[in-house]
Amino acid sequence: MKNEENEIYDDKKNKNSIFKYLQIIRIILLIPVVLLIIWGIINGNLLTVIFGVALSFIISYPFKRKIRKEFKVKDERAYYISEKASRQTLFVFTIMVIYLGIILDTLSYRYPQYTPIGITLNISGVVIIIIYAVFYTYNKRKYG
Amino acid sequence: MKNKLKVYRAMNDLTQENLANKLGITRQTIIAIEKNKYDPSLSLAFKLAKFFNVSIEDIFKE
Repeated sequence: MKNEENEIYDDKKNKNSIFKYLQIIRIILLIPVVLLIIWGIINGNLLTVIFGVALSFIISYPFKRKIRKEFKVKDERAYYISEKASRQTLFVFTIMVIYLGIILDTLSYRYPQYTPIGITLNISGVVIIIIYAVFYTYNKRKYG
Repeated sequence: MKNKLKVYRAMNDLTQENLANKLGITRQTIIAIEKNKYDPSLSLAFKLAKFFNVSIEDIFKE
């Protein structure tokens, strides 16, 4: 009984260290790519930015796949917590975007130069709500 | 939802870590259930009931 528990503990410890090791390698490989993206943004080079983002996906994918396969999430609360955090983030972000947009639109008589930003923010807020509604309806139908 | 997980765990002389390892979940999940902070999924509720050889209603109640 004790040996079995020790084995489970050792296995868990080994998996945790491999997981950390994989994450470190992934970060080390991604640092130059991030630098490349930053360089592209500073120099206004769109192709470099697109290439950098694509490269980061190519580098990350095998690691993500391996991690997902080998280190399946055992804490079922993770999904629940992530779902709640996403909902709260969406709610706060949408409210902020819409309010800021309305404020900028309202101040258009004094600061007309900010009106396009206000309109863009309002449109973004509406688009977020529409996308949410689409996915909400899709999932509602999918899960009855 | 209230539960008697702590009671059943004590009756079987198990630590939170032991129970978590046996069920293939984390200790934090056990802690959250025992503190009534989290209601487990149906599959975990079944696992717990099967593990303690009782019905789900024996462990969980409204």
